[in-house]
Amino acid sequence: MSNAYISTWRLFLLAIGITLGFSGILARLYYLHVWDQENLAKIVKTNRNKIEIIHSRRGKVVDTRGNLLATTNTVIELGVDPHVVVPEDINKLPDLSHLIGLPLKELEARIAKKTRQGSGNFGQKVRNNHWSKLADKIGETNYNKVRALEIKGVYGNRKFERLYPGESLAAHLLGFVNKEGNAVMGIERYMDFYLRGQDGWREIERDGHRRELAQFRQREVDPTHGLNIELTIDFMAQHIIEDELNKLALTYQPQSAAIIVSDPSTGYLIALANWPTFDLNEFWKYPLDTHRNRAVSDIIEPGSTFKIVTVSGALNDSLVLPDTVFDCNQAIVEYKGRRISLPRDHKEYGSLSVSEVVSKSSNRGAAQLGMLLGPNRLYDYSVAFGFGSLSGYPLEGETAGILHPVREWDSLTISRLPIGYAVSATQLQIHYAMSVIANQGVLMSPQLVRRVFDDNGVTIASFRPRTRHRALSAETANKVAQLLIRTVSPDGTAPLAFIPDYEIAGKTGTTEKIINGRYSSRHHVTSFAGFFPASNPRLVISVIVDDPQSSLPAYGGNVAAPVFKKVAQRLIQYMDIQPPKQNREFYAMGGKIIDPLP
Amino acid sequence: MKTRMDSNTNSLHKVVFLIMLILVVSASGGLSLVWLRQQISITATRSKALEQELRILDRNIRNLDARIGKLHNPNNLLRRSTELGLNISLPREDQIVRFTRDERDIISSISDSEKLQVPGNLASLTP
Repeated sequence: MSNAYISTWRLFLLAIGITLGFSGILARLYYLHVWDQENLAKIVKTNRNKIEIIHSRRGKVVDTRGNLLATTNTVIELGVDPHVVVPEDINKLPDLSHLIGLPLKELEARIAKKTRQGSGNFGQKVRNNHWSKLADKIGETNYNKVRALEIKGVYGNRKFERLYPGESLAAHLLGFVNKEGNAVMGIERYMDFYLRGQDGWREIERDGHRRELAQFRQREVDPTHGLNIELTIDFMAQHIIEDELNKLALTYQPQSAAIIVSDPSTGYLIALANWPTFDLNEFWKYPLDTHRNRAVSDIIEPGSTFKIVTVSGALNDSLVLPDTVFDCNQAIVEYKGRRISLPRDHKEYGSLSVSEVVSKSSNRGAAQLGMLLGPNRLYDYSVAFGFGSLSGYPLEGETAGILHPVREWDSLTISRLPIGYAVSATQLQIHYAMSVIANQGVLMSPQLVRRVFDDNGVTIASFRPRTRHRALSAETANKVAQLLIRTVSPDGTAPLAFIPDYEIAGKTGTTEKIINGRYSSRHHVTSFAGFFPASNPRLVISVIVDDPQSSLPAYGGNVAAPVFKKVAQRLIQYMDIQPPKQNREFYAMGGKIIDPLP
Repeated sequence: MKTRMDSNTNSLHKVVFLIMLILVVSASGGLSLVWLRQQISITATRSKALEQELRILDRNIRNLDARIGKLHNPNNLLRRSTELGLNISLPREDQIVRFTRDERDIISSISDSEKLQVPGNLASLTP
């Protein structure tokens, strides 16, 4: 009998078993490849194939000397896969909690949460939770410490974060990018097109552990990083004016205050600051009100600083000379057959020359100059100095102010407009009106961006100074500049702005605020706008303080002018602005300072 | 008879040789393909690692720039100055000495040994 004999029923059972086994396999294959093919293929595709976005980096913003004002930093979003955490690592959690600043109980709760509600895409209501966020952003140093703990399942994903190293420095100019990555205001918004760059992408395949299989990379498009912006702003000058604003705020507790510094010949803004301000890195912690760039959005009646328009107009039309005398005692004058009451002066001045009208800021003198000029020419010069129209400030939020056309004037406007009432303007407009005098009669547009450049420093686009128009002749501008020097002299309204040898020229302004529909004698907006050296102006500086609290009457001459002086003094040193007249010049030799030309 | 057997043996050997040759070629071809794929995989992984290194370097440069930017913040410098007791401040106008072009010419005509060795900026000296 053969040893190979197998009983029939055993053979039958074996055949049935094999057949069932293969049938099962075939059924499973049928289910996988035919029955549920579409759904499963989708899951496989989702898990294995992925289009990975390669985020572009936003460009940086630097000041005129290359100091960093805004940059993009990498931070790590830390999370945990609760399924991977092993019991042996539980004793490391207190250290992790300490490093990331998350309470231990909360950390343990997040690790314990192993499931989450599914999105329902694949019919699963409850899905495994493979990612619980532990920290929104931690730095590289901290992340390295976290990794050193070697807790399985704890890992981080890098993401870009906008960083402003100067914190609140130039906050109203730079603006910020919010948490959603949208540029909200300032340069960030205005230059977003250049700054934001373009994301890249690549098609990748991953293994069962979600690791990329580099050899299966298919198509890949590199990101284009954002371009960089160079501003006209000077980091240090900006710091100086913000520092002075903070000191001013401590002394006077005003409602708000702002300082602008610019180069008159180009219109480049060198510094612009508002108080109150906010920290760009934590913008959400500050009231929205602090985000407002008051220097360009808030309008005020310019007051006496507007007198430069009236005087310039009268001189430019050769209606008066600097020594032409006006009777400033008369309260009522005859004008075109009507009796017009003139605005009050602070004291009885008697007869004043045009030069003295400016230096003493006589309202009656300026009103008479305005009448001499006439409504149409006064309006024309107001427009020529930039009032009533947008200055061309590149960022958002600028208002045009209010300058009514002559047909809408009432009988008092001809005596009120020349002294800066019946007109509303932003500080920027007042500032650039003063720049007209400093720039030989030419009105410039404010410029904030100097150039756009790539990572190699190559200029992509440059922004040249923009001239708006000539407002008055250079000769008149020089004459007015000389008149404005007297304002800062001991017999002017702003002796506190005087700096020896520097030919400071400027004009004070004090306007009463409208409280409950009436001009208040207790609440003022004080201002001072000026430039130096008058014979070759390098800087225009304007200071405006809204409602300073002071035991003494608050005027432009005693509140804003001293701030102008402090800012000017510090900028003179920083920018090495030399006095136009050097009487004595020395050099250092042999251990002592000697005069080389005795 | 013997001749036919020899002939059959030769044919068999040829067939076996051919089969062996086919097997060797197929195996080596297959192995080469595996090797090639492995090399592609290794190269891709190395390339990925190098890219990663570049990214890390770029990131570190950016982070360093940001740190330098923070350190250069004037407020931070002033704070550090106070902490270190340096008492640094900007020079005042009366501390600054200016030269005209003519005077520079006079100075350049003086021999080096006669010139003062002024440490740093004269402007930073306190009165």
